[in-house]
Amino acid sequence: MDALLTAFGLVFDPYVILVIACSAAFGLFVGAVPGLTATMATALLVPVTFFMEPVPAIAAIVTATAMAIFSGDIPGCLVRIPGTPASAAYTDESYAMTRRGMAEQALGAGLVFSAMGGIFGSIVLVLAAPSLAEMALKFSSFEYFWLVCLGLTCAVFISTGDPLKGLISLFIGLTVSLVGLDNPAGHPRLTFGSTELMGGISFIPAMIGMFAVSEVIRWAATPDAPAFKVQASIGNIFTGMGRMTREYKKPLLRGSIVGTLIGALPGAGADIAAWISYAMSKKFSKTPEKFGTGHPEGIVESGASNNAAVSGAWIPALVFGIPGDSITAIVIGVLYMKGMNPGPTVFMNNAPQLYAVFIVFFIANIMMIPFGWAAIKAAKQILRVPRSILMPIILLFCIVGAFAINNTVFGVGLMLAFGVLAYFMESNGIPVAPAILGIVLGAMLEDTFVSSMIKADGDLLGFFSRPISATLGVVTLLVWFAPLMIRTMRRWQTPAA
Amino acid sequence: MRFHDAIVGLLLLVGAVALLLYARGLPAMPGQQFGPAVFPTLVGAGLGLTALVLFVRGLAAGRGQRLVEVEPGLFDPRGATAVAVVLGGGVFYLLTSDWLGFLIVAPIVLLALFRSQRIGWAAGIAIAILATLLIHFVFYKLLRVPLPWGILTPIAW
Amino acid sequence: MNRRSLLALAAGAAMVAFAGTASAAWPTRPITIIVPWGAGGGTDATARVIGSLLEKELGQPVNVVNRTGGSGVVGHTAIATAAPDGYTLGIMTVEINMMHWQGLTQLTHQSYTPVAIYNNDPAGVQVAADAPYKTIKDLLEAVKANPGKLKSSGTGQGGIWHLAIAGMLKGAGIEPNAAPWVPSQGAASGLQDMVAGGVQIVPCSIPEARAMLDAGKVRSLAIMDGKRNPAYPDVPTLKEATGIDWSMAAWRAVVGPKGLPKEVTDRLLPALKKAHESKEFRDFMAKQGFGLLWAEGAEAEAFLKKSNADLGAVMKAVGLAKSS
Repeated sequence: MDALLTAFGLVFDPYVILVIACSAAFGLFVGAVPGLTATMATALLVPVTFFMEPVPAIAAIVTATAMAIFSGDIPGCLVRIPGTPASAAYTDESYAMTRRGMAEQALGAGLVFSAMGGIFGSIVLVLAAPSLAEMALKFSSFEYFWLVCLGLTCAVFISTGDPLKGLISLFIGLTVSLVGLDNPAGHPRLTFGSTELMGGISFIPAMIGMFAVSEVIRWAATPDAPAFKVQASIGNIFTGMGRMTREYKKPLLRGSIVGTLIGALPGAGADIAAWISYAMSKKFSKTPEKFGTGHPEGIVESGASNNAAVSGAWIPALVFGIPGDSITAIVIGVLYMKGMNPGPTVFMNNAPQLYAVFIVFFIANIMMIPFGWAAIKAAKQILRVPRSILMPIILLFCIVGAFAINNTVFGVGLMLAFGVLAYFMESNGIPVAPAILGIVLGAMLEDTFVSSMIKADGDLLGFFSRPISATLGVVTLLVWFAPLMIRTMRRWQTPAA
Repeated sequence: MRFHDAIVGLLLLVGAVALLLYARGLPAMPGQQFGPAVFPTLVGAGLGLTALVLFVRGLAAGRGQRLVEVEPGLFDPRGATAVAVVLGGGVFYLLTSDWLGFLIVAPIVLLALFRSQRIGWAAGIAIAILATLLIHFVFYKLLRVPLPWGILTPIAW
Repeated sequence: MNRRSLLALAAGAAMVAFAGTASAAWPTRPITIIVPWGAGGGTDATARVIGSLLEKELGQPVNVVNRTGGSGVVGHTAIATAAPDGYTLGIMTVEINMMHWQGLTQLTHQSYTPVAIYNNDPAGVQVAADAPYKTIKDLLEAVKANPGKLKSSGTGQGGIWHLAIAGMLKGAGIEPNAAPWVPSQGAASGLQDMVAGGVQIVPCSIPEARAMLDAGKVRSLAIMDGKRNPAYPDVPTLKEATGIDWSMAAWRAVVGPKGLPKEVTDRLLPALKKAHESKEFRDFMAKQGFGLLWAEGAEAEAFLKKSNADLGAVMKAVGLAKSS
């Protein structure tokens, strides 16, 4: 109890509060800029935290990342450029809402349910970190392989329209992930002698190209398209949130749980959590046909999920010093620097500081509401800018964003190429979201498959030889083949038809 | 630009076969049972299979469909110019930004895009310069992205 | 304005640019440090600390940027091909002495101007805490008795830790591939896989294994170095425990493109040395468990040359080097 009181003292210090407020603004800003991720926000903070006490240093990172993951939704929703990869899963959905004049509801839902997911993840972090971390440590490449397979299955669920074309899009994405040297064999593939291509296709320029540049091309090709509707009423963005919470309490809870668990698994972070949650939301929805047309249900679930994952990633990081995602990889370094060495002992040796960090998690997620509200109000104004001025500036933003991820014009070239590719794909009814999922998960699928096969000496039964892996495997196979079996059984039952 | 499903399927099928042939040429790894070719082969097979289904289905279902449909906007000189400027502007940036620097290339690209949208010279130039300076300030100063200075290096700030 | 006069103007401007950088006292504008590895790794962390300390010393912003991918090839290429004006520096890592043997690039350590080597982390031999092997001898015997059964992991195929274990097995008179390598994204995922029961040996450095060692999840049997790690004095060196004279370490150095002007190194080297000796840097390295090293000038050249020859020899022995 004393530790808790000390912790409150550590947090509610004017300096710490100021740091939190500044990092909140910083995180919102970085997240909303395409090409700069939440990981980048953390890396940019490291030199600053270097000269701070432990609690403000960690508080700065916690606040900035939570804000960045939410604010990645803003440009995705308004102009179809997801600010961070974690927003890519539902960018099309929220953009569809914007086109229907419902930008405020989309962003409001993203904001409120991001905060709720974040708070849920923080509660789990406080209450169950050690036992969940033990569970996460039981995952080896066999288990991850099945998890990735489940993730890829989402490609079919999230594609609106033709499932075959969704599958094709997924394979296009997987093909892109083959490029480069970073494969288990360490052999350059599809690089055609280019050093830049040895680095593989960075996912961020590809994502910016596929969403934003293709949209700019489409805009240019339709000179007489009507302008977006902007709501006349500058109403309260929180209107209807109470109703939505009641209506979507199951998706909200499911998104929060799934997000926290996926976040807690090392190697799987907020981006994967958002995809899986969006697909689950559609799968279990009573009105799956509304998905993709500007329907908030999926945004509720995956918005909660990606913010829950940000908190969940701290679980293995704090308990075993194993990064739950690329953000916590940096955090672990900062923890060491500040003498809060990760490990089971951190809960005893540094109890006051640790509790203080927990308190900051809650403050950050609560503060997200007023800060996010202000950001939405400001950002919404860009919809009032005439499209003939807005779209060229968006293109320049995309160029700079694609450059920023690796500081090379090669990223700009990739972005343009993927913009053209996505334009053709979408014109031909091939959705782009599954391709992006394929690029995200392709390397992980290959890594887990090849290392599992090496470990099992080439025996495919190795994928079912461990209890968790076997369970996940059976679930995956059921998800794949159950619809087929059900259809066949129905056919048997009605032979006359 | 919309192509007939059978054409899309055929194109992807050719791509998949090329990928499979490429994978066959990848070497084995010393001391490793599973080399760099395993995964490309699986992906190539998956792409080929789905492309084949699309091709066959397209042949069966889309007999009356036109082979290529082009958006009317691309026949409109305004639309065609705008698309050309978007892509040309991107390529222009790609080729010249390291040499000329961001502060020269960005306003040129923006101005060309504004002009293709029939925005007046004065307004176009003003907005192009303002937007460039703003983006430069945000990325270069605040976010420390090393945007190229090119020939303006002597006056770099 | 015709094309020729435009070109002339550009050439003139470029000359002004060159003259400007050469005459004024370096540095007059922000410096960029390229890191060939991702944000969150050890190279990135040390680079950012060095960057912030250099910023204080030099009075100009120092931006650390990540140029990742291609197992370091892309970033190392970017450093080597940058203009040698002192405004683009980089962190070179041990991989520069490995990539060219694999035929991945033409670059060698001679494609750079080394400023100073600042860090050196020897490989350790880690097993899971519940593994039956109590000493490195037990482990080597187990590998010898059942070649191919125990799997090792901790970095990519042909990576530094892969070479570390191959060299150790070779030194023990065992087939270098007797503990087959399972490629992983890095030491953290290799360790995680070992604790989950996927692999049995992770020959990574002590700082990488530190949290798991302290949490009691893994055990370090030996380190491949001439002396013990002061933070873990109970872990014997490989030579003490087995008599195998084999050491392997990952190092990091601040470098510039080849032909870095003397004005730059004359100013940079003392600033870097001061940063290296500062309390902040020492605290940071000690808390993270990174090994300190300082080598400049001829000493650095000799170090790099020896590292290159050693790595080449192992890679040839285990069949990872391209013929030549």
